[in-house]
Amino acid sequence: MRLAREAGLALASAFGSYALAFWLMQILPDSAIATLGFGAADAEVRAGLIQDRSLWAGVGGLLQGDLGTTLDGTPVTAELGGALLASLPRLAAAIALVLATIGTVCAAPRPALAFIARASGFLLFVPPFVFPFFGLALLLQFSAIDTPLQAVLTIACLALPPAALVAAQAAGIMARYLESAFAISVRARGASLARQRWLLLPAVGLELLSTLEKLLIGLLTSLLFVEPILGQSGFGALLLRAIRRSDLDLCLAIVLFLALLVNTGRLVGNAARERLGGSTW
Amino acid sequence: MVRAATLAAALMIGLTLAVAPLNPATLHQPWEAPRLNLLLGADEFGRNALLVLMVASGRSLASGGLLASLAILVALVFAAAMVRVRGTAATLITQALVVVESIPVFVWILIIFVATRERLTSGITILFLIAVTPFAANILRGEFLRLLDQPFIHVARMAGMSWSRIMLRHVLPNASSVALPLFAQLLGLGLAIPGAIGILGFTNRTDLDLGVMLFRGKENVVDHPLLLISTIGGILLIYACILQVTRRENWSPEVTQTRAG
Repeated sequence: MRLAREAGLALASAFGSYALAFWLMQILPDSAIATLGFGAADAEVRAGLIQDRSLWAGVGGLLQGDLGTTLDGTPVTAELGGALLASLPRLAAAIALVLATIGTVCAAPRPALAFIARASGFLLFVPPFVFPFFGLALLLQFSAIDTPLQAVLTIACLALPPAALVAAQAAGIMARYLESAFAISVRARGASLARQRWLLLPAVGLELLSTLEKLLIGLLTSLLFVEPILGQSGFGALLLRAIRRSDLDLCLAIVLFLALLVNTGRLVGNAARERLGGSTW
Repeated sequence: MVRAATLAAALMIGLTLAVAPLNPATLHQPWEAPRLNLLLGADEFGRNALLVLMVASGRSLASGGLLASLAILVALVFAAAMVRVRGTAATLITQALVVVESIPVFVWILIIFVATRERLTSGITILFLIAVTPFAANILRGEFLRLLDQPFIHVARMAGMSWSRIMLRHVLPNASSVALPLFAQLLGLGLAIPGAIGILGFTNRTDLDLGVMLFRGKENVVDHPLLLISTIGGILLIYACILQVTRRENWSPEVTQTRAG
């Protein structure tokens, strides 16, 4: 019952994001700009933006599985499906790198944990598009465009910000757990440091899972910049193109997809948090 | 004391540079090589690259700091409201924030920017506040709830202290250990906005801003990598300064706890 309520709220939030994006892209350029004191928007852009369609018509289309058409006349579903298929292997590889980061951080010696947390803090402070900038520099320097190096750099740049986020979290959580009563009692029984960390790993993983939506947001933000900068087609490139061209149907479909994905992550995170609440860590 | 002095000096330098005039006239050849009195060489507009970097750092620090401060203030108000109200109103506020939080901040910022086609400071401030307030308010709310359950708060309540007084005297000062790192994070976001807008294709390349410089650094990365590297160096310096200020041990929440306890 509770799960159904939470799922309902997540769905409502996703549609709320859709409605907010719809309002921003259709209503704001028309009248609110003047009210807020901004300069007048370009008439041609506004004419392009304000299509003869209401929010309810859009929602009605959604319920029938119709996401509309792009400015080029292509069905949004086809564009979105193609882009997701192109990005999926990259995302899977990036997630594998993030998981490897968690394992590495959890196995790192205790003095290194503070350093990892600090270094990750800097990586999170740096704008997310800096990593693909460096990736592009390497690609151009080694004339490696359209080579396997491009794919490797894309995955590395994609994984770096979310990996920094989980590294900072994992370092903090592991340092805390190593001081917990459980770790102390296991140590007193003669468990090696490696054994202690192995025993603590599921709890660290569960606590990291409770912030899954943050990880997803980091990954999607990274995707938004990495693909267009490194010249790869996919979901991120499609999103930037949709925003740049004010492609209403495409933008709204992407916003809905993002919101559904992040809210699913939040549901999983809430479940993990609930599990943590009952644990003895 | 030393840290406070460092902070004051850094802020003074930052603010001075933020308002410092920079002669846009071409004083050097474009991309002039570095030499002793032109340490980082000249940029593509013939300006002293070191001076440009310093002014851009100062301006970005000032504008990013202002944006982050405003966002923290608004988020504090929202978080306090979320803690204070209960029942349906609380659920509604939380859900409204989740609606915004479901989409990455940069996606919101770019959507709002394209929708308004506006580069005025007021526009950027508003879109920054809309995009980051939910995320910041949720973090602060969690900290407020944790603090409100602490024994010293219960003691203050039993001593007859009003809710607003407890919030002002005890909860807000103690929440600084979360609010300050959050401030650093928001400052980083504030620095990134002009660069993100640049990637969208709406940048004025002569702007003295670290985000724009990063974008220019990317455009010239093969022939003039020093521009990108020096800009990252500028960001690293700002981060080091912020890190010193926001370190938890620089703030002593125990003081207010002891007073209440």
